[in-house]
Amino acid sequence: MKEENKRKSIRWVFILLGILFILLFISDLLLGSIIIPLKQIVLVFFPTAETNETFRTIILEFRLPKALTAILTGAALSVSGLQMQTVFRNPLAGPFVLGISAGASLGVALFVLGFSSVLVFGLVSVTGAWTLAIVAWTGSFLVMLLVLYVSARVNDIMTILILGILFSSAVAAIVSILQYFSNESMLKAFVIWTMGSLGSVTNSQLSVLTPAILAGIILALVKIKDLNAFLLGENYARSLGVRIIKSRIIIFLSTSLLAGTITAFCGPIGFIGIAVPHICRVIFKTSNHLILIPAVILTGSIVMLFSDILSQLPGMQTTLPINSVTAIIGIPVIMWMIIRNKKFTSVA
Amino acid sequence: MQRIIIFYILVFLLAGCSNKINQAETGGNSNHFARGFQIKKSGDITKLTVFNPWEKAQNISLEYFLVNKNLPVPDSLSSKKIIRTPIKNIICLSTSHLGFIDVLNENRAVVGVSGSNYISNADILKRINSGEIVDVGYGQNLNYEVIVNQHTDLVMVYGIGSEVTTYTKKLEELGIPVIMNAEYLEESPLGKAEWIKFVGALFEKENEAGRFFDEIKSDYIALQKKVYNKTNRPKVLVGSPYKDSWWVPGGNSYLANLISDAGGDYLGKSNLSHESYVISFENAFVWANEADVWINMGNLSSKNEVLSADERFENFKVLKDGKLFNNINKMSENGGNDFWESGTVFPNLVLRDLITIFYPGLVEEELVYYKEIK
Repeated sequence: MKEENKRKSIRWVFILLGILFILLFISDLLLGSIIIPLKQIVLVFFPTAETNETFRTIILEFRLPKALTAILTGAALSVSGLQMQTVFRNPLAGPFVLGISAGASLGVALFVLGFSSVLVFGLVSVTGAWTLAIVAWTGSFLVMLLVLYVSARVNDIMTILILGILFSSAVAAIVSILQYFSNESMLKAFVIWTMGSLGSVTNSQLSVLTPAILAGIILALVKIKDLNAFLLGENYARSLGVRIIKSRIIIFLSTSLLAGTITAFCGPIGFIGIAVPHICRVIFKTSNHLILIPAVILTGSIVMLFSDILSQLPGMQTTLPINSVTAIIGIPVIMWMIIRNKKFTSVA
Repeated sequence: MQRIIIFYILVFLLAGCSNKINQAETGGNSNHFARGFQIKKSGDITKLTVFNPWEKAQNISLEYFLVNKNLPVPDSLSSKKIIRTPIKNIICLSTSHLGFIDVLNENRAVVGVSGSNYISNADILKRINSGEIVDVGYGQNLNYEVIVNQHTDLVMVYGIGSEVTTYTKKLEELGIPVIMNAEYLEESPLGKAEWIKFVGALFEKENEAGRFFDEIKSDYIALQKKVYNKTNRPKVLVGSPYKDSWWVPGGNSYLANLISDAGGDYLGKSNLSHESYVISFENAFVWANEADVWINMGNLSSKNEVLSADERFENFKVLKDGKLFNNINKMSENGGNDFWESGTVFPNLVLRDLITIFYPGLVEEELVYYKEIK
């Protein structure tokens, strides 16, 4: 009976979150610097002679890809954060513990700060839409290969965690050296990249972003059983018949794909990946990944859509960097939850 | 009511006072446009005052006393900042300082620069390559040993914020005279150019500097008059985005003033700041649909490059129907842009370029700093 009540309440939470998700998605299309009447938004999707061309471009070329990017970002970072917290059995783990964003930032730093003066007037323009995404993705891909290599050989999961942290610190040091030798405009370009951005993803980039994220999520869904087993410790998981190393490699592959691709296109977006899994454990009162994975996908998307609406400062000419918004709105939520629910940090 | 009257009387009195002070202080200072400095001569000594030399500085004035090398420094000035003139060598921390020095024919005085990669002046570049001029680093990362080793008479600095005082203090501690140049904060193009007088005073070339500025000024004003009565002004879009943040100059900035003086209608004019501000991409898109001309789009040098920077530019009406010009005609191999170097000193040439762009055929001259983007 109790079990059934719990299932019922979970269903209700999902329905409520789903409604919230749809409302925020529509609001994200509706709100922005330029005020567009609701009627025009309908006309954009069902074009008639009355459709305003400017509004049509703003919605289809600017706001729709931005909203879809927000959804993908929220989902991807939350899923990879959840996986890392489970695998490392550490509440502070997030999508970037493996050094994925460090790798991406090294790629971007080398490009923007290191070689740009050579390249700007050569064949490649630094401002090229794909260039930064490609260098960032190359950076995180190389880190992923390194992590997979190490994790196939090292048995102790803590060793991987420590190596990831050390690697991130080493990269931060190299990036500092590059910054030290750069001029103001290069620094500005790099700093803006580190602040994250959803609105620079175009429709053609979405056609690369979407399948990559879907692939990452599918890998995570395939490993739900193993993730649940990991919660009880690797030894226990092994006794349940989980092939630890193989399973770990697939989970890392999924995380790298999710976090690496998002970082490549949107920059390192902090906070979401660590916070959303915690929020979901509190709301859904479960640590079962069969529920948690869809839950973090939905909640992560909601949080990102909401952050995006705020960062657009509706009605104003200017915008805020998305990274500061996710932190400013999210951190109080987490603090409140820690104080209210002392147990929430326990991953298991 | 009574209070209001007293208030007005006070305001009136204060206004009267400050006017008087200004006149007394200015005595002989003939700044027409520049607001950031004042030159005051009394006897053999020239007092240079620099006002609010960084962004958001308020009620800050720095005084420098210029004393000829052959004269003794009066005791009364012993605690002041003294610069012995004419200076024989100088380290400049901004490329725009080099523009002034070049027209004063004092390039040989330069012994150090900051960011040597971004310099356009061929003469200076040659001397950097031969090792006569050294790169001293920048901002908080100045290489003090190299600076000391150059035995310079003066380091000319500029500050983005008050943190500049941390390294000016350090330089002063090392016994190196420092002067703050705030030309970059001037809102009016002629105001920026007028800093030639400030730099001229250091070389005791006040007269040359004054004559040079008068020529620039009369040329600038004559050009301005040609478009003064134009009513059908072309609408101008400025800048390019970084990711989705589009930085545009404030409506009262140097560039906004140049555009308006050239008879253009700057689309960002409603924001009255002199500092740049960020607008959203969709806002820029709306402007791009109104614009007749798009200028200063960063390092992009062809329409293809513009499109590869962001495919959404395809929707920009100005790209299809408008004209695109970029200020990249005088770039050095390493990426230095003379627009920011000599363009500061020759605002008349920048203005002439813009007039040629906005009103083709009105002035029959080749473009100097601008290049059409095709």
